Amino acid sequence: MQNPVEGLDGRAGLEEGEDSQLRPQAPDAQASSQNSATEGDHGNVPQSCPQDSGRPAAPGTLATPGSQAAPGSPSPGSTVGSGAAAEEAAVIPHSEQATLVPGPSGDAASTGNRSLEFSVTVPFRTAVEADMARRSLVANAHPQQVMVQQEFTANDSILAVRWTTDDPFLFRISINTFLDQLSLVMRNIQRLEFVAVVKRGRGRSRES
Amino acid sequence: MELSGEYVGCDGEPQRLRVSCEASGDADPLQSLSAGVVRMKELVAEFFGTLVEQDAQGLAEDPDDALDGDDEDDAEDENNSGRTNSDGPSAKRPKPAS
Repeated sequence: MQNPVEGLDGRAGLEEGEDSQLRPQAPDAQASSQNSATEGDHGNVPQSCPQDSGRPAAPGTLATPGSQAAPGSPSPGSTVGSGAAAEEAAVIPHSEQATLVPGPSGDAASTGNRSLEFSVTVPFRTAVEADMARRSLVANAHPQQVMVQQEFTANDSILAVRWTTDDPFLFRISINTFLDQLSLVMRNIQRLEFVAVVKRGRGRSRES
Repeated sequence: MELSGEYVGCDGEPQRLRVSCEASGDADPLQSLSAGVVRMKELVAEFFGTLVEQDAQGLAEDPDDALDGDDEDDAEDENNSGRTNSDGPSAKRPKPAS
């Protein structure tokens, strides 16, 4: 009884061998899937029969397509990577364009910059008056120093003021403001003199 | 007594504004100076008003430069059309030979 069973097993093995030979010839996906199925079958058969263990070459040959499939999967990955690289390459020019755009405008802005100066000299009667005016005007000039640079100098009885900026419009605003403040300072000086005269008059009247 | 102003532009050439503040008779010198300041303010407004207008006109002229650039592009187009015309005869020459 054992002999008939062995005979049947032998035939089954031969059929499987033929299938395995045919399947490698077909490189289609179906063949690959069948190969994987066959690999499973071969894995089971050797465990049951020692003769099947004598056919490990077939699993070896079938294993080769599997190994080929493994590199097949990375190849799409590599293509995906190349696609990503292409996207990165595509993105880089945009970033470069973005970086390039302000460059010329920045250069244009730098070439457009020019330094302008305006100075005024005010002759007071005494050095004291000139110094009083300078102190008052400097205190009021702080808020304006952001866009327009101002320099106040008192030399004896002469007050000199100099502005430096790149925009003529700011020049006009700053100088007009200065002249308005200068007028106020002069009025204050006149009032101080008037008060001083009055006090002197009162002192003399008391003495008499 | 003189109240003076000086402007130095990008060309480095100075332009001066002067206001005389002479006290007449017994007039207070400080009061004369105050009047001079008012006069100087008027001169400054007039001077910088003109300067700002000139600057604005200078900026307005920039688009004209762009138009000049367009003219150059048109000239290049004409040159290209000339090249295409020259290509025509060269293409025609092989035909008579065959």
